[in-house]
Amino acid sequence: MITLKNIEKVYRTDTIETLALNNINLEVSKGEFLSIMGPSGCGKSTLLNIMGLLDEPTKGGIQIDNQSITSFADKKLSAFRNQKIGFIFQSYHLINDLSVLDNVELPLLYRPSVSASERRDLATKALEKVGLSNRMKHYPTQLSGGQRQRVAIARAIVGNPSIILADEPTGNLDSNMGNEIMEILENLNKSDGTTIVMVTHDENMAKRTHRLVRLFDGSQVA
Amino acid sequence: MKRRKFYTFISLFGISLTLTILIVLTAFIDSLLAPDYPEVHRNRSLYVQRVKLLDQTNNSSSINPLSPFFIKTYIKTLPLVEKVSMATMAVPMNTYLNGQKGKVSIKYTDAEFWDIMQFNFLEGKGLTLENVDKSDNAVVITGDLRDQYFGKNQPVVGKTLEMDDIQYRIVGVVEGSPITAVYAGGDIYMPCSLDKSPQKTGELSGRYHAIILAKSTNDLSNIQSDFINMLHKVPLGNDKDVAQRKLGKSERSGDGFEPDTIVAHAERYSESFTSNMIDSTSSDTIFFTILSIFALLFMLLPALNLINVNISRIMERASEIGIRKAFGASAGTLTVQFVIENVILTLLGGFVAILLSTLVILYVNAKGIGPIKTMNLNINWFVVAVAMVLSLVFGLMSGAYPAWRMSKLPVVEALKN
Repeated sequence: MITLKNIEKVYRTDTIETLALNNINLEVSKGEFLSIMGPSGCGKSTLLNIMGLLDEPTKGGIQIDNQSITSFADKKLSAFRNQKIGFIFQSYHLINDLSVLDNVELPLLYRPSVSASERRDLATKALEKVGLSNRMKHYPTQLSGGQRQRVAIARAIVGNPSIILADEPTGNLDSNMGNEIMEILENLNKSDGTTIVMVTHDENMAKRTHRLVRLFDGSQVA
Repeated sequence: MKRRKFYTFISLFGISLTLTILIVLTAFIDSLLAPDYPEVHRNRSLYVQRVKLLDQTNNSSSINPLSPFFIKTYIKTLPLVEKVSMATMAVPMNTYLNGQKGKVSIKYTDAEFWDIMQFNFLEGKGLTLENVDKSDNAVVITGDLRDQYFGKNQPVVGKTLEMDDIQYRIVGVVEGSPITAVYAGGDIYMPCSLDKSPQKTGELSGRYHAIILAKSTNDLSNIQSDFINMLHKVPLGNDKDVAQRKLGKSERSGDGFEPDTIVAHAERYSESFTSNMIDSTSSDTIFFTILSIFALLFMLLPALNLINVNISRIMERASEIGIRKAFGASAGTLTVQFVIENVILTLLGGFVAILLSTLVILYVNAKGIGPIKTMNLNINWFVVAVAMVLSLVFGLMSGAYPAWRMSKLPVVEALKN
């Protein structure tokens, strides 16, 4: 499903060069639920961003569904991301000026084939799936952290992507809320067969996934 | 836009202000070139301001206004013309008026001037052929001058105005013309026959300009052709006039100037206005130059400011840009989205600007401002069309660059905001 070959990421400033990822080789199978762990600054989020085509590696290649992504132009890359990948971020990244429903509809706005009424239907279903159908007209600032993350999950799944990339989805939540979010992700993986890659600091959450990858100083150690 | 009320207000305010200035300026230029009080026949008039005499042998030339001789002999005899008037430009001079020292603009005119210009007479009438032929000490003055020297709205026709110890009889009082009516402006109008400036018979250069009034606008091109043909017939050889003219010239300059070529143009109003701006060094030119510089600054500063406001407005949305890009918006899609938002905002600003401009113009027309107090500004369809085109141009200009810049922001960077 996702293949990373010899991935290297270097951040350069005028005076300093930092190696964030060093020779990462990773294969994620279809339907797999993978977690990535490691200390802060070890390159977990960078790896997830590269996997999600939000950032470019300095060296190495990425294949998703057997397609090499390296040569994609901006427009094609955006469309590919829109169809294949859903994101969940630690700090939710909802647009506060839009209602819950509008936030969830967002990925479908960039699919010309989906009509406005279809968008509304799909967004409503996604919100029902995360148990927030009664909060559709609310704005993100009117919701709790757990509710916001559920909106973010609804937004990630509304376009029915085959991959979900979650960057510390439970990081800002208490254990109860964290469990709720984890259950939703597990259900998505089991019932819909969605491939999930999750970055986490929480060993217990990581144990609930199929496989754990550990990073240290930009290198894969397990 | 609705939820970012502060930024929307600032943007809308900036856009409206900029466009209001542009619309008022456009209305001003429109009024400057269109027929306006008292030069209501600008559309069917031609203006001859200067004659250029070239001495190619000695590689020298002179450019001067026209002499009465040139106007009477060669221009007034052109076919197809309805009337030809001659007048000097208003010359500001310090003088004693009724015993008080003051600065007034004096203009020498013939009788036809009063037929071509359509002044509003507050009292009396213009100078007549008889006044001019008999060199009467008769003058027409403006209402402002009357108010200043005789008291507000006092009847003055028949009274005398003493100027540098000479008594002049006032025959008419007119509503003053705006500074923009350069061919009509003046404080005191006197018969050209009273002009004491030295003038040799047969001399082509003098200090007058001619206004040719055609019977219809269709005749203008033909009159211009006739004018050029007429110039070929003006003797520059060794006839008596030329001999006298050479004498007159050499008496003044002592430079042995012997012209062999004559150049002059009968121009339409807009052309004459432009050449006036380029050639003249009068205070009017300074006024218009300063006005133009200010207008440019007025246009430039808000435009730059708008771009800045838009960059801030869009920068504030960096996180949103990151989110949209993460979920599939391409740089092109985002650029289009922001440009459309900006164009809508600018068009709204355009409508507000039309309302504001109407208020400003109504105020200017009602109250009058300084030297353009009798100028009549209008918002017409042309002005509105210009405003809307300017709105679109501003919308695109001030929106496209910030939008393009922000759409290129890497997603990861944008999400960190």
